[in-house]
Amino acid sequence: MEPLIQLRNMEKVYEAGGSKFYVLRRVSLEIQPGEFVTFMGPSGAGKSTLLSIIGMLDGSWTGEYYFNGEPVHRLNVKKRNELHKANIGFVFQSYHLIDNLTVFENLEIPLSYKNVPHKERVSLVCDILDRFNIVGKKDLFPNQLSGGQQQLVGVARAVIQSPKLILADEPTGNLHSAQGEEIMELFRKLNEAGTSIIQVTHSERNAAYSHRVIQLKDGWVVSETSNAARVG
Amino acid sequence: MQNLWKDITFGLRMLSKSPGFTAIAVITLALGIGANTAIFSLMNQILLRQLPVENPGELVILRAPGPATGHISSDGDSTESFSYPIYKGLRDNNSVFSGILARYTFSASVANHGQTDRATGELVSGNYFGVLGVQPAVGRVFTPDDDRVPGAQPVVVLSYPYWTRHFGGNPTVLNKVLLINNVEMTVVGVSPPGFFGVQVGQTPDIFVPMMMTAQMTLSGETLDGWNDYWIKVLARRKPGVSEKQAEAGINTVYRPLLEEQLPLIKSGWNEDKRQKFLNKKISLSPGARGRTVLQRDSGSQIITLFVMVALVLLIACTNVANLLLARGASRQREFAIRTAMGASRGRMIRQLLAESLLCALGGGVLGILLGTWLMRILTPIVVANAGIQGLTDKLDPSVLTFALAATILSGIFFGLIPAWRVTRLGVSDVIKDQGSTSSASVAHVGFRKVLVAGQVAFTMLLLAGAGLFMRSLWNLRNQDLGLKTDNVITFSIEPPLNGYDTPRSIALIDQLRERIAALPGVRSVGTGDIATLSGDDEGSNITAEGSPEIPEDLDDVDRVAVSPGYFSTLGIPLLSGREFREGDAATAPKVAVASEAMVKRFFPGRNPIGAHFAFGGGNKVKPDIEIVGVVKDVKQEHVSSAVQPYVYVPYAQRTKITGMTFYVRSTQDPLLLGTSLQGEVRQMDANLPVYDLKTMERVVEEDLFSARMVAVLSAAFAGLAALLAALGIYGVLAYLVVQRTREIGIRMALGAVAGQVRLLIVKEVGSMVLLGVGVGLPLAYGLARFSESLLYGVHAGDPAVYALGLGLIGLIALAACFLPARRATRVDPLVALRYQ
Repeated sequence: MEPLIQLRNMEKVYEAGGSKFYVLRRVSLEIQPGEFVTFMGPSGAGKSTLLSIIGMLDGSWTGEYYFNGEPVHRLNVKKRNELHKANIGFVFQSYHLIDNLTVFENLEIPLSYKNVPHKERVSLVCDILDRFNIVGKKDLFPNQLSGGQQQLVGVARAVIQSPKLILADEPTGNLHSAQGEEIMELFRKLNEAGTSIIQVTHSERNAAYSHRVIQLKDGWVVSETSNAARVG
Repeated sequence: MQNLWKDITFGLRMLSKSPGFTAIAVITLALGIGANTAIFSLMNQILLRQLPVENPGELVILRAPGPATGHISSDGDSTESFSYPIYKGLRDNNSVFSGILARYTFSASVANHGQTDRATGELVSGNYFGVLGVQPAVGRVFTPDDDRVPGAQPVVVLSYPYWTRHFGGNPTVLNKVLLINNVEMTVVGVSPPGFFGVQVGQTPDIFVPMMMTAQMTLSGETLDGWNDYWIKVLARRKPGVSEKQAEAGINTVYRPLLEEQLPLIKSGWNEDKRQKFLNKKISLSPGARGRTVLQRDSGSQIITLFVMVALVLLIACTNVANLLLARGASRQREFAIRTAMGASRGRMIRQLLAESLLCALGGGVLGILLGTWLMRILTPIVVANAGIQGLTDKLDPSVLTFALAATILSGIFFGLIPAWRVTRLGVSDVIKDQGSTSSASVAHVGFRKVLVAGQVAFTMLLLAGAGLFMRSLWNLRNQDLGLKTDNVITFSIEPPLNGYDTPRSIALIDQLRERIAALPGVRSVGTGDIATLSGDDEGSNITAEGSPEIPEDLDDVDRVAVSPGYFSTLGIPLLSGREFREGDAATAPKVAVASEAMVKRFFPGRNPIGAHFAFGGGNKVKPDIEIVGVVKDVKQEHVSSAVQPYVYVPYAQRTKITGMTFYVRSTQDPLLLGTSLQGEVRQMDANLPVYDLKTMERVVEEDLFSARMVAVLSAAFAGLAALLAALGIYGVLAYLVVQRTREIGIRMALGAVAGQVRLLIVKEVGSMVLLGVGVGLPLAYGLARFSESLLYGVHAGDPAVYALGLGLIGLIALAACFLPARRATRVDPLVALRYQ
């Protein structure tokens, strides 16, 4: 089976004052469709940078990147954006809902950027509200929700466009343990339903939900371990 | 479409969430758009509006530059004046125009039901309305049949405003007989509403066939005089004939007419001049906007004001752009999220532009209301003081279109740059960020400083412009006019319009002078046939006894026919000799009083008293007018005009009197005499209209109106610009202080005192001001050079004005940085170090 993600010799460098600072060094890895992968490592290891590159939000790197067989490194910005819009959903530590939009409107945003017709958008948002059991919250603004509820909306927003891949950066970092567990259970179910997930986390507990843990340090991939004792 | 609607509703929500920002932005834009709308309305009506006639683009104005001699009547450009025989020859023989019309403005005295009013009349050719494609509102307009027999067409067409004003818009006015300039004329029609003739700013009340010239005019205009240049001519090109082809075509007709005219020229022209005359060519210029007399006189003032007010809008937009940048910095998180959700940059720019345009729309609506209010104030002032007729304070479609365009362009201008900058930042930082939004805002500060420097530059430009115009006005007000305007009231009459011949006119004026002099409170009375400071003049070349050789272009002097007491009443100092006496009558030896400038030119180094001269030139002219006095030079035409050589002659010795202006010096407030003066005229002749009754001080103020308007409006624009610039500087500094709080805290923890912290802030403002002034000074000088014709007694590079402008900019900058600097000195180092 063709890997969903294939990175070959990926490097990212910052230049400052004539010196080069490597954020990622010769990263090569493969992620299969339906896989749940965790990036771990100390601060500054390059985890979030790698996540941004895989999510096609960062275009300044060298090396080769294939997404579902498409050579991302050869695509222009417009094509990358198209690929990103069609296949990837994001979940952030700080939820990053838009304060001035209601829950309904926040969920609608990714669809509107994919030019999904209005009727279909409404139907998809209603489905997801129902699926995540947050119908009663649809007209509330983010500041009227608890942290857990906000992250629930954040996950729902990532899922609404049925992405092949969800990228989650410390998705439970701002939540207490019960809320965190709820979100991780949600990820597990999504993964079981076929969505690939890559998360960045410091939490061993969260990492236990994934099939594989990739350790990074100073920009290098230092180890890859399969998770035999996976939760679920 | 749905996405656009989403952008609009979201934009509305965002604006309503920041009412302070929205209010400041909307008001700032409203001030700019409102002022622009009002000035554009004036500019549109005076400079841009096309004639309300059929296909105005086909109209052309005819000019014939080159040698001319004889009686030349002009309103600024004598090349536009043609004789009737030449007009007729051109009209009847050309093949390039579908019609050539002729018109001439005259003063009319219109009597109806025992009440006599003064009106503006237009003598027009029979094809006038036909060529313009103007249909009557009531009755009929003239046709070529009205052009057949001189004196045989006693018919009149009323203008629509005159008809509604004097006859209540009643159609029964048709066939009514009016006494116009003492001739019974039958009303045959009314021109359509909105039609104001072919000259912007001059709206005729009545139209009379040109065949009635002898009956209507006083200055000797004739239908058969080849050397009598008075008619203004417009033509309509035939479809498919270009202006160039029309010009070539009409000149083939013109040459034979010149050959026919040449033998009739009596002046002693040499062969060279005769050849030049025969080689004269008619030139055509676009006539869609009609005759351009007003455009020529007022164009540079209006364009200057429009440039200044456009700069105010630019400053307002810059201010709003600056606000949006500050706001955008705090919304970077939102845009990063949208990017992560798949929003393209164009899509986000569109959303931000929707917000800007909504803001601009609010500013536009409020601006149009403000502009309408300003127009209601400004238009009557312009109409009353500048004598420009036909201006309206109503919003017309072109003004609305302009306001709408200004609104949309403003929205795009102030929205696009911030939108472009706000959306160009990367999203990775925000995704890694724990929700802080302050890190990305640094990038905007430099650009915001550049925007403020731009505001300072434009403000410098406006301050310098306003300074120069104010200085000009001060110079105009404080110069020596050569006469004393205090306690003098003036009015005019035109007895010949009511059928008076010259002897009767002179007798009437004599009697009126006597009666007025006897009124209580009157110190003295004098009259002159050319009103002082009215812009009118009448001149002639002269032959002066024993004078040195004078070049041909300098042998003209201007002439005023005056009464005894004229100089003493107007306070014109007599330098030598005597004033006129009652004895200087028609039968007495011809006498004159000369101005200093006339003496300097024609009698340099000589005592002119007792010297003789004559009007006209050539060997047959015998100098028979004796100079009996010399008076100080007077600003006769305009306050701003250069002094011209003048001779004054007794009106009793004139062979033709047209109108007369009275000057009455009072021992009290001269306006108190107004009713008595009108009463005296009424007692002499109840049907003789009195016009232009006003104090001499008012005459001076009216003459200074355009200078005053430019000075006052430019000062207002500069004040508004200074206020907006101060707000702009304040906004950026306040933002900088917040951004540098940590740095300031560290500096204070390390021992910086309040003065050193203040200096940090002043340095920030200093860099913006220096950059702004560096750009603004040359721009200001450039605008001043463009407007140099509007300056009086001050040159475009006047250092005092620029120094004052710089001082004001400095004060504005200091005032704007006062609060941010104070806030910076109050930073608590402990709190600041926890900041961020």
